[in-house]
Amino acid sequence: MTEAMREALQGWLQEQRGDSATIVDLWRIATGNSRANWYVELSDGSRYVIRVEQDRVFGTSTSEEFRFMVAAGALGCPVAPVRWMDTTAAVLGQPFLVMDFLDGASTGRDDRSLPADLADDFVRRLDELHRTDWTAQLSADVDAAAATHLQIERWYGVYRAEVEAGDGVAIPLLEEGAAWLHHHAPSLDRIAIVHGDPGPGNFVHDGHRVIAFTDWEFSHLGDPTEDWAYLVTMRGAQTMSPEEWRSLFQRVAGVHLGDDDLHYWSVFNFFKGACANLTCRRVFATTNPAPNMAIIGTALHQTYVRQVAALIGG
Amino acid sequence: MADPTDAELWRSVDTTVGDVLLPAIPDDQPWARAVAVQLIGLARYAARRPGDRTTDRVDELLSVLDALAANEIIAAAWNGERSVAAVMVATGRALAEAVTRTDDPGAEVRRVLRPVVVRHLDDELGVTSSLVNAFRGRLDD
Repeated sequence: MTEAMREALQGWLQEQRGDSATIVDLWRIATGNSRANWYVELSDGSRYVIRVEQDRVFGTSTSEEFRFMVAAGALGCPVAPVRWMDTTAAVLGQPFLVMDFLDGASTGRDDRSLPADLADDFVRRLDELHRTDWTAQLSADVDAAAATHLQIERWYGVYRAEVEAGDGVAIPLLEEGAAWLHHHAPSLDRIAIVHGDPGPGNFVHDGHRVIAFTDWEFSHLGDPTEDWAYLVTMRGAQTMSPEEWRSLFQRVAGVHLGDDDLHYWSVFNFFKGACANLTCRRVFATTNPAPNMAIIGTALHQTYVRQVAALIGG
Repeated sequence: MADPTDAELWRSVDTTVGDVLLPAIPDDQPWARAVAVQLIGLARYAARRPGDRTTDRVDELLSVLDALAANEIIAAAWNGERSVAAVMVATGRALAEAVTRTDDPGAEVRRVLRPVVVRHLDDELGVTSSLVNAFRGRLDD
């Protein structure tokens, strides 16, 4: 696999760069389930990360991730420069993008710790992302009133597509979850860039400051409360207590995350995760029989469905 | 001697990956090490999972739907078809409608039908939850 990939990727990179640099190092980075991340070093010293799709795992696309990373970079938000993408799947068998490799640290795949000054900077930079005026860089045909409903429908559509491609059997608690989310959707005044998967493990840092947010495949335009709640109840749940997170948001960014908002967006995030995780069940059965695909598509999917049910009503 | 059972075969995968292959994977290959642990978790799950309980669960849901046939939400959601797909669609429609209602039919669906669906999920999680630990790099004893 690696040798075939090396040959295909090398030729493609030479074409993009217009030179003849060769690959001198290529290995898979041990993070990421939605993408296979590969470290690539060329003979001229250039270093990149290749993010390869995995059969549309999680219902996300390279082209959308690329679009948001380019926009975020142009808006001055911390993101690794993205260079090129291939959406044809002709080179590696899957769409992929190429971004610069950044020196710095990133926590391990299950390490959610965050030093205090780094946590402050992380919250500050995430808030800046939310507050940035994105209109010059991103087009959107959605208004604030519809934004949350569109996101519910997006993830509901991912779930329904998987059901229809599989055994055709609906998941009643996800049907309930979608209805609950539509019924209780809070109003939104202003659409923001939402990262969609922020937190420890998904940014590069120097120990004190954020260098770049990573893993942009869930990014979209919508209500930034989604990100704050995601930190509290999901990716950052082991980092500090909910009250510590909320106090941090208030102190550093002036963001008040109320109980109702936290509850609503926790339901949303677990619903989103449950729908996204279901895609792995199909991928495991078809193109990628890796253990992580089976586990995400069954146990993690079910865990998230249970969280949705518990938050809605026991 | 009979052929090896599925359980014996899975135990062979578990033991071989855990005792032979995993120790041979160097620390600088973290992805390979993570996958090996996940594979052990998968083998243990495969060895001890019970048979498919879909039929029993659908039968139980059918009993509830029959009992609630006079409920207007159930009457609107279910046409009486008894296939797995039809029962799950009807159950989902009923739960989705009930979650937006504060009247008696809504309360009845939440009180009678919903706990059955949640219990089925909890039963399933009782079998699959060990996979979450394997996903995170930990193995149950």
